[in-house]
Amino acid sequence: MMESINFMDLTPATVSLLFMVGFVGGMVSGFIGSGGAFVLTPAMMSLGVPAIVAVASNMAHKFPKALVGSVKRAKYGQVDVKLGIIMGIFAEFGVFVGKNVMTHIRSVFGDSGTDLYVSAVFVVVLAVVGGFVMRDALRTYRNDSEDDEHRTPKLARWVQSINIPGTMVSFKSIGGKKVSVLFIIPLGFATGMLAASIAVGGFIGVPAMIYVLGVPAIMATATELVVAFVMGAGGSMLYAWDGFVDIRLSMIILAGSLFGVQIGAIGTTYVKDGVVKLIMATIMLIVLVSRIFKIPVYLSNLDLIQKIPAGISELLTNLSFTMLGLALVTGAGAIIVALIKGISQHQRRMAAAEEAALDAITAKLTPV
Amino acid sequence: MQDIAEAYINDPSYPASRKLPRPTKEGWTAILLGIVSAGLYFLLYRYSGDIRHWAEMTNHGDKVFFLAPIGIAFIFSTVHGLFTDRFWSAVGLKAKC
Repeated sequence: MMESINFMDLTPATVSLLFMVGFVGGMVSGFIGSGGAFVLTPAMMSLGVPAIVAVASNMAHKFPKALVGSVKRAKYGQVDVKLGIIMGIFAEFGVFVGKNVMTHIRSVFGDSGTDLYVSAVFVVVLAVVGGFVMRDALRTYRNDSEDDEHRTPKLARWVQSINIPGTMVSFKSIGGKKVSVLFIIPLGFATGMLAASIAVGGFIGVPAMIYVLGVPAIMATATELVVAFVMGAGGSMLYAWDGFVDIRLSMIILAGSLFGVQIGAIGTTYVKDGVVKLIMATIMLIVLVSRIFKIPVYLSNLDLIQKIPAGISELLTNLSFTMLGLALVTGAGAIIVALIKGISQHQRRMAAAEEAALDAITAKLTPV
Repeated sequence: MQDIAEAYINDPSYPASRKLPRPTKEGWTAILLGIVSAGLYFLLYRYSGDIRHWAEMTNHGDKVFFLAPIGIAFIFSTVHGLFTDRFWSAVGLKAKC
């Protein structure tokens, strides 16, 4: 018999905290297009929400937000709708498998089992993806910080050169070039599988689009919002079928994050590709450290290692929560600074143009 | 020089407030949507216990309300999404075109 679901009680303090966490998570989400749940899921777990409820509730709060974000960014011409829908369909299969893995773990090991599983997946994925994106961001900065031109990665050039008759589809995000759907199937499946496990598919989806398909980073993060909507809607229904979605938590987070997602989306129009990558990598690596602190606690709860004394367990939990807060503050701070810098540069440019225009008009009107 | 003058005149991202007085219609729409959104959140808080009970029922096999969270998510995100979008436009934060 599976243990009953454990929904947290809502107090003014938890509501305020969830709202703030949602706001910052939304800002990060609108900016890097990976849903923001990679900070929200651990944050909810730190507040005492079981991992499976945190994942399910985040998927439910994420997919309508992804719809809002993708419509917004489609207006800026950053979304490849065709790629988003094709990847989203294959992601649904991944979501189905991922959800079944999660419920199986819960039925065998209980909530502690899913807590450990979700944290372990976070650590592995954040280490691989965060490290890779950070290396790339630093290389971009070292080589040519002023050059904003998108260069197609080597792997993507190879993928674009493979022609498998009957499977080729052209995409606007890669300049109308054709790519075989057979390359998109595993990328979509893995994105969906990860989304059902940690509520963040963008960790695979965004880098996969950038490095495997050759989509520019700004377009990849925008297109990921379409994928997140398609698979998020399906995944939420699967989890809702078992009653794991705590829609009260989802909607409180949504209240804050919809304010944040707009700022993040606007922010992308003022910054370069390299800045998005750098901020994305920094947040990922800080969240990774935060999750590492919690692993021994979960292992101890499952009696897989020697029992940790209560004091040490509490210390590790607090350290984990502090690191998470640091990730949120760093991410929000970096986005706000980038946005303010971008806006002030734009305004300076407009003021200079205004002055030049007035000079030109004055010169025309002044009799010679 | 003429190019710069034209670019300035045609640039839609140039703050409207510096050219013409700002219309207030957008602001009023934002306020109205904000009130509706706040009302929805009041209802969510008011019926928080029932919503929790529906999830427990679903978890125990009674699937009558299983789609309720999805419906709630769509309604809230539509209303609150429209509100937040207009809110930032009303306070003057706009994307670079």
